[in-house]
Amino acid sequence: MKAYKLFSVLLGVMLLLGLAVGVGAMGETSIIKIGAVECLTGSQASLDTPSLNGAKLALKEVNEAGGVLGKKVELVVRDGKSDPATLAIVTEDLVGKGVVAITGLSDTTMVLAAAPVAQRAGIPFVTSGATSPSLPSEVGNCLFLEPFGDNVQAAAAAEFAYNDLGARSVWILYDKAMDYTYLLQRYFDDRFTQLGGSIVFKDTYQTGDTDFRAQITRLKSLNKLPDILFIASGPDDIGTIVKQVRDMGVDTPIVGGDGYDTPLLAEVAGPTDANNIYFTTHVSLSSPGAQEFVNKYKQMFGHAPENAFAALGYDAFNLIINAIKRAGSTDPTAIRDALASTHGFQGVTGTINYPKGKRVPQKSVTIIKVVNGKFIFVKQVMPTEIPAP
Amino acid sequence: MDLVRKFSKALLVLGVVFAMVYMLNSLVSGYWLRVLNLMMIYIILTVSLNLTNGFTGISNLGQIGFMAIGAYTSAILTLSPHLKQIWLTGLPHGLSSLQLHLLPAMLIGGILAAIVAFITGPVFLRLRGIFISVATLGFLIVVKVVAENWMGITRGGRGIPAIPLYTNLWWTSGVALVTIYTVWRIVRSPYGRGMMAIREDDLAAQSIGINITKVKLLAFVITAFFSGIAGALWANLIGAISPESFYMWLTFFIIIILIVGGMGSITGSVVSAIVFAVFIEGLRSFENSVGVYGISYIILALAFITIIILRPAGVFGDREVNWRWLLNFFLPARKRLANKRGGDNM
Repeated sequence: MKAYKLFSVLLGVMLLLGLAVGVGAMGETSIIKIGAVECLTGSQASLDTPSLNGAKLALKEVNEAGGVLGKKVELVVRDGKSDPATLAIVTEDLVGKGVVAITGLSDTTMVLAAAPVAQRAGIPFVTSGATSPSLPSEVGNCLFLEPFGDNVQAAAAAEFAYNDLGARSVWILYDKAMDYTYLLQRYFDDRFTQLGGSIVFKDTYQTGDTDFRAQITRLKSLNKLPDILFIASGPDDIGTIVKQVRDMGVDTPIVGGDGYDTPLLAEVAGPTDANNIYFTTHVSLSSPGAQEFVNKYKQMFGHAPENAFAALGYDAFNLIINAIKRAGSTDPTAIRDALASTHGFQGVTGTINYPKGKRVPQKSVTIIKVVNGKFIFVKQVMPTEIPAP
Repeated sequence: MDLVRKFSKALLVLGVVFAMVYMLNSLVSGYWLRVLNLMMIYIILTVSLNLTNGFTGISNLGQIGFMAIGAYTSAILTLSPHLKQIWLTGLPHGLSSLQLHLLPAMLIGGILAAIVAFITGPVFLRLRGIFISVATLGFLIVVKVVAENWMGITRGGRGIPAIPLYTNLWWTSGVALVTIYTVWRIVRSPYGRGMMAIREDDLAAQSIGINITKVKLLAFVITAFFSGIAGALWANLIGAISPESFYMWLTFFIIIILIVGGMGSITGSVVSAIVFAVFIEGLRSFENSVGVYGISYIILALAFITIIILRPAGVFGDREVNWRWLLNFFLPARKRLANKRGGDNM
């Protein structure tokens, strides 16, 4: 009986505590709050953690320079746990906390769960890493992409594969459980066949699969191995896929998108297997233009940025600050209008312009080659023709 | 006289709930409204699961599969025709241009889940004990795999986003009340007594003339119906669903709520669902203030293990919370009122 009373009292206390914490945080007017919703746990963690660090670095710089509009800026962080229900609820939490804009997330499916909440409240949402070019039309006028769209990076990959690697045939493998991978391979397919290349076979897998030998066996049973393999994969699976492809004796070049830009690729596949891989991404951290950012990041976190998503998070936060400055106000609608008229914003990942009425920027694509697990800059390109979103 | 008293009691309860929802709707922030809505959905799920797992002794692990059926049905029915034509290319023509409001979509979702339960139920209910758990868990996996691969209808593993957000506190609390009332009336009807008899000893129950197949199937189908409706509410509350949303995590979360509240106690399930919904949010705030992300799951697991060690039958066991019970809880032992069991407990 006693333990039981103690327990119920304990539960009661926890209940009150939860309420108190939830209600306790009331707004202050001398601070501008910007929300960051990032998946710090779960399958997206390897992209969103660097992205949040980038935003934190930008926040530190802004506040050291005296804030914006004479006010200090605060970053309110929420973990979305790579889960749609959690994302919707934490975004609502951010809206309730009085944030004037929200940044974060590196995956289209995740943004589709979080951003509609911000859209309903009329709060601008700048996704730092999600790349589906149809996101703005699916969510609404409050959604902005900081990176290029998937159609741009897939077209760049297709042109690079066709012209520079001389590839004429391709085998495609993609994750059918993600919008990102589905769209990426579709745009690649569009551009590659338009150039005159052929798709020898398309295979699929699903997020969470760990055994890809069935797909690789089907690949090996083809009459003639294709010139390249285009694998559209999220950050969690690419290491495993590369390892299994190479272990089964296929040395064909692998081409992919910015999902490869994760330390997991070299860690899981190992330096001997992580070879002869090309991928498109937002910035090469070894390029001279990014050195200043890399050094500042090292100073703050004690290690180099894990991938380009750190730079994207940094840029997305600065893009919002830039819009607040130009709007001269912290009213979310004014910030949204200022964002929409962004022109010539210089970020680590390139120059951002939003062409009239569009909320996907025109940016160049960086191509990286993986040699013995190391990421080496190849070139920066702008595709000549881009498939419609 | 008795009827008048009962009627005024019911009116009083409805009035209080109405006033509370009205007040909460205007006072509470969007975030807490969302938490309250989820709380109501947990109540619907836990109370309806109690019918099979608590009262009839069928250890059903497939509940969330039925919820998924309701959620997908409602999502497809309420999604705007424009988006349906882009995303859900496999829909038959009549469906792709149709857009319903929440109530019809929700009822169709619930009925569809109930129909699936009616068809699959006889197969599951031939089994006993742990084998039902295994089979219904299999059902959950089948539902997920179908949702992941039926690209033209469910958009596969990418899920369906941009579902209209029709769900509000009126809907969720209304459905929660209906669920509690229905389950309570069933439990106190001859069918309900039959369910409990089956739970205690199905051979003995059969020997006194209870049609055990029929009674078990009734419990199973009603659980599925309310789970389907809960799924519809969930889909139109969150606005985005994917096969992953209706899987192991939610299954075991609801079972934990049920076990902690006490199998066979309706009020126990309600109280437990309320506590858990707030507890999870409290943990989230704690997680945010400490900055160690992921710690909330560890605390949740520890809390569950502690409760199971301290009170293996759940906090309320199979008792219902009533005023006498509540009073006695705070009174010293010698002043306690006699507890009349099995009477009018609500």
